[in-house]
Amino acid sequence: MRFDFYRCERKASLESVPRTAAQINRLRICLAAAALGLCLFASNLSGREGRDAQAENLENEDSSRLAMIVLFRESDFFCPFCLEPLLRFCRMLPFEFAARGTWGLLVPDRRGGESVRSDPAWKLLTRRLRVFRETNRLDFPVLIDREGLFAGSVEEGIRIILLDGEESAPVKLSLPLPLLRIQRLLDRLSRVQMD
Amino acid sequence: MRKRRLALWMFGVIVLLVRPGSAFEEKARVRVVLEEELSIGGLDEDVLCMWAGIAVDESGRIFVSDMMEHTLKAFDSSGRLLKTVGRRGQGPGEFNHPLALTRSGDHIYVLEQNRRGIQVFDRDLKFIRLIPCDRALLRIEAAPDRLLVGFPITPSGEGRLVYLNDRGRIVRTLRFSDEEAGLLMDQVSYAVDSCGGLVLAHNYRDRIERFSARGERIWSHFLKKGAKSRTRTIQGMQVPGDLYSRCVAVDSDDRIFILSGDLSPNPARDVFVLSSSGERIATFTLPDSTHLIHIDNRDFLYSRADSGVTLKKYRMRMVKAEGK
Repeated sequence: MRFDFYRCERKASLESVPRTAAQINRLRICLAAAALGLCLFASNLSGREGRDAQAENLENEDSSRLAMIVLFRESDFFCPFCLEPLLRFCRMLPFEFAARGTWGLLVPDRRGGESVRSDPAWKLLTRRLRVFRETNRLDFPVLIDREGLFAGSVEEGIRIILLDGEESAPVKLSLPLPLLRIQRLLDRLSRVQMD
Repeated sequence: MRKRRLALWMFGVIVLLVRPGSAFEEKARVRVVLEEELSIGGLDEDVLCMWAGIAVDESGRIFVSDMMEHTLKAFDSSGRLLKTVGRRGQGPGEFNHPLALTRSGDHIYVLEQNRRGIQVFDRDLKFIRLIPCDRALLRIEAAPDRLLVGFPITPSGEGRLVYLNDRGRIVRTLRFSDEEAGLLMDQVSYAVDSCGGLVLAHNYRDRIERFSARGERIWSHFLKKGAKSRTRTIQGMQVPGDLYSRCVAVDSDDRIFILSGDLSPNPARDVFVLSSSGERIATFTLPDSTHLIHIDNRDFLYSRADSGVTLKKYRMRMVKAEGK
């Protein structure tokens, strides 16, 4: 049977009262087809809307994401004056963010001819790091930058790198931070959703 | 030809005679032989993490502050750990980077880097009280009459030491420099001699001085004449670069032991020994680099090894230098 949706619809609207059984059947088929078409259209529409909403949500999630890397040097262990601003700053971080959104990176000192991989130096560093985390109750993991990937970034002291979804590039901060900057950062942290 | 040789020889003699003198260019009279008596801690032992201050009592009991653990520890003379007290904090018996220790009688005095005041403990490491102090100190040493000699940190560098009583009041001041040295440039290490006088080693200046108990300067010597210390500029401020000396200690015969700075062939390992009159009598080299040396009342020398996870105790023997 050739089906003409437009004609059926037109006929159905024009002929309000069916006359024969064949006409009634044809009208039923037309109505069913129209309903199916509408359903398909509606479902298509809602699918597109869902995808759009999902994308929008993802975008929002991206912009609410924030990760922080705290970079410090082995020599900072010998300088309580240098460490104090860092520890003060760490104590201000919300626990959830410190535990799940923060990473520490310890950059070993350059030793004359002695690599950090050499056994005694490595032992010393890992032990000091463990004690440092325990005594200062740091909630975030701290890795040792044994390849020296970040050595250039900490030449002038402790640095904080923010990977912020609201920014287009990583933000590098040096401690101590001005009070206003701390306040802005804490405001920003309050908007962060942790998974 | 012979005349030329003679002239060269004469020239050499003249150069040797007119060369500027300093405490360090005297001929060594004695040789110091070190014998390791005791080693506490180590890389494989969880005993010390970064020890900073040391005090030893008459029985040989060793008190050590650990800057990273924020603790105070006591060891017996055989190196057995007797007790550990403290944790990071600001309360009584808690520490914030315990830096220096000194002992007077039954009391152990602890100076912290990030807290004003001096905490007092007994020999069993029981907290007694806090001596208030209205200024930040970098070092303390026990002096006679239950006084403490402190070195206050001032931004301008005032060049003075303060004598504090047990209530933290300044009862006397020793001005060791009249010139304003600048940021951190006036840092000194010092030790109290058997007469209650002071031996002062300037960390960033070429100078060793001795003062009587009444604060009169007895002598002043160059440490390393001619050697220039570099300075660094940080954020527009001149700050010291190379150290001339790190630490000074005095033995029971008032011999002066100076731990070398950065200008020595073996920085933080060479120790220069001066007589009580300031004449250099020996030089020896420690096996490991250290930030301080301490000599107890039985003339044992204590130093650091493995960047502060090991404490070494040496017996010192002075033998006559051969061929002198």
